[in-house]
Amino acid sequence: MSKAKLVKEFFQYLKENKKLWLLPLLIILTIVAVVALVSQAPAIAPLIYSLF
Amino acid sequence: MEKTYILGISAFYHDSAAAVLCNGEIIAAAQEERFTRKKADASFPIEAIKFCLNYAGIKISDINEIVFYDKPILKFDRILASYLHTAPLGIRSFLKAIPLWLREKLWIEDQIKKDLMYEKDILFTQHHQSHAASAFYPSPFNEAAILTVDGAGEWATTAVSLGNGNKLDILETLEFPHSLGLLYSAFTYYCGFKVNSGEYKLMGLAPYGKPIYKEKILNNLVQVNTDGSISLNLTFFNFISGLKMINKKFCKLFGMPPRRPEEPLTQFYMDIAASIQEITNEIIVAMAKHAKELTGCKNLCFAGGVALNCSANNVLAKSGIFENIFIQPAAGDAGGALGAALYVHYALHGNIRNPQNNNDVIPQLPGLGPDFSPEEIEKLLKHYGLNYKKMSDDDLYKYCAEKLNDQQIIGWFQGRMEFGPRALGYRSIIADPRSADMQKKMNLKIKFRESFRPFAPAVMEDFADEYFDIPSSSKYLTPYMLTTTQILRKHLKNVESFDSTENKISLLGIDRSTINAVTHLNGSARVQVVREKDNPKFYKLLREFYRQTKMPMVVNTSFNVRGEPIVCTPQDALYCFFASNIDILVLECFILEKRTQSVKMDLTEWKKKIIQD
Amino acid sequence: MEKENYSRLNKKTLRTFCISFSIGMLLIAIFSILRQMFKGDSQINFIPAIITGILSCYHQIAAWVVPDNPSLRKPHFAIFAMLFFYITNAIWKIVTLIIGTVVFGIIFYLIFTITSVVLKLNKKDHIKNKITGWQKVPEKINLPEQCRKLF
Repeated sequence: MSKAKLVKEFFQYLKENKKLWLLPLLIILTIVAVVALVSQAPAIAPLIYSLF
Repeated sequence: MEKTYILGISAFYHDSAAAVLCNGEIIAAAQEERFTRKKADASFPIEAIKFCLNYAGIKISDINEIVFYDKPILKFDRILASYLHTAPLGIRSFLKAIPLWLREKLWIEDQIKKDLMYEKDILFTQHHQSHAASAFYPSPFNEAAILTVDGAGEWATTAVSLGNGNKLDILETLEFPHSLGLLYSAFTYYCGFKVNSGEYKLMGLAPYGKPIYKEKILNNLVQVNTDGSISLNLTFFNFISGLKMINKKFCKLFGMPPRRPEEPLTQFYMDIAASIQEITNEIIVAMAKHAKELTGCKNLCFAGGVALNCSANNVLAKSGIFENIFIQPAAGDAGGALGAALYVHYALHGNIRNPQNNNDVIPQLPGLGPDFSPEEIEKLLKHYGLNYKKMSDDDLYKYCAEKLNDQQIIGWFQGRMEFGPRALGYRSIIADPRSADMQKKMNLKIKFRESFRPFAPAVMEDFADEYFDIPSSSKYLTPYMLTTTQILRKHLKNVESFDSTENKISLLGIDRSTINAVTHLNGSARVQVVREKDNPKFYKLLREFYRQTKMPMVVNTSFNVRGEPIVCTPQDALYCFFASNIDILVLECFILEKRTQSVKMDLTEWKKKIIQD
Repeated sequence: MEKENYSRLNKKTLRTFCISFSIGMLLIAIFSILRQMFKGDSQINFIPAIITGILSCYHQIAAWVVPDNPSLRKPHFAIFAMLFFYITNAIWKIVTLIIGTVVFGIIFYLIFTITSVVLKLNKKDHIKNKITGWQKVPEKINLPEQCRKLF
């Protein structure tokens, strides 16, 4: 919920302050963040295995 | 009356802390570093939060609101803008900062909820709002101008606000990268001290030098306008997206490289320190003038890291711009936790604020941390098999006063730990201020630190004006050791040697005043005026010392060795006692003498946590 | 002794397969407990777990794949295969981490640099263009309700 809140408020901030040029950056950032998150989750980690 | 609890948190940048209010009253506040024993600990303050909740006798589910002292989106915007300004340069700093933001700092709300198992939404105040609130709401003023100056919050580096009753409005700001705090930190780095923790060392070094580089700095590095606004020449600085504060151009300007931390201090760096200190004084006075023009108030509240610059505070107080000045002792980021909570209580919920009730600052300051019962302490002493004596209060004061007169150094551990960087008679090391030798002795044998740094006096309120020239506007500053003052000429000796001697550090060992150990080179002292109502035990000790010696003050330095935070628990005090050359340890009503101890404490684990600073 | 024919898919071979697979899963569980004891987390990755389980039934799979070469069904091949798997697992993790960081880092920084150049060309560099001097703050900043937001 808080993650969604952050994303929603971020876009609100960009809109209110007319900083839409940040969007390409943020999309890449989001992808990086998602990969980082996913690579920590054991059940859905196709790319990065944990050392045993 | 139903109880409303608010928890304020500051974290992730430097100096994490937590504070808890109950119906607007400050119940507890503490810095995380005191519990983790890691200096300037910036990690999530889970220990400080646990302490605050325990002290308040509540669980996390009893907290009505949690507020964080900084707005992550605004700050991230500034970080992104910084890297965009310098891209493609700055990749090293970029690779350090951005992953950290993506992994942690953007998800602060999530982290707080997860770590504390808290379900409600978290509130977020602006950084300078938190600073302003931390100074205004505990102050004795119904109305005040509020000046907040630090390195950088989100975009603002400086703010002028107006506090009125329970309202707090930011009026104007100066924005990143033009920052007095960052300018001072740049010079802190240049003189070989650690950024964000060594600024007060630069301030302590300044009296050893002359401000001969002032013009060079003003002509090249910073433009200072009459309204107090400043503009940095960014071509000399690297802090926007570099790993260091300054660049080669900066060093070339002065013709010297940055000093390495353990290199000896030469006259050049002392003069640099003096120059930047004088400029800082002038900028702060100009900013204060601007705050006065904007608000028309006669009172000033001052906060932000720069508000801990006691030399500048003295100049500000003497300028007479404001009738009264108040600085809350934890004026830096740690105080932001307290400020954020107070802002929510007063500004958001509109609760009535009545400073006239106190006619003074709120009585709880600065002792907001943990205290320990005699039973807990005695159990610990027995556990280690230490030799100790238990004394009544009156016997304790007599005994300590005798030992101080005997030139012995005492570790004084009483009551609730202070909130903020200064030790104010709750976690202090104290000694006789009279001897010329004491400064050197304490520096090398207790603090294991560079010998140029002065100590500070704690003086009984009744005698403060007999020794120090304290402007009336400083009356709310001196109880918290937040300003320097001039020692009265009648107490100074060999004054002519101050200016004429080339090697100023050599002056340390000579007889310079009737209170040598606390007299800085320029005849100043960072005084704490002790009032009986603030700290009755400490006051009574001073009174007994005066009765025996006619000296109404002691040296008061923080109870820690170099590289560790101020002690928090009796255990920490014991480690420091055994690791240094403190002669006597006082833990509440218990006395330990070093010479009677047959047991040696194992300091191996303790030593691992000491950071070189 | 009668040689059992494992090459046909029947109830018996399936049962053998399931038992071996279960033993493999049990091994994973044991390793996971050991990991919890020594490393503090019991992370079990999905794909390595499946692969280990499959390797534990190596001899059955080998029987299906190469029914004419009974020596491949020996147990120590399975153990070697498992060890080999874990070593390559570790190497693969390091390689993907490096590649991931470098590739993503490069892509991200390229986008950054391009954005930076575009901004500068359009005179929208927010640090360079920062108006110096005191600036009045927007009214919204002082609305107490704003503290419910992250900006």
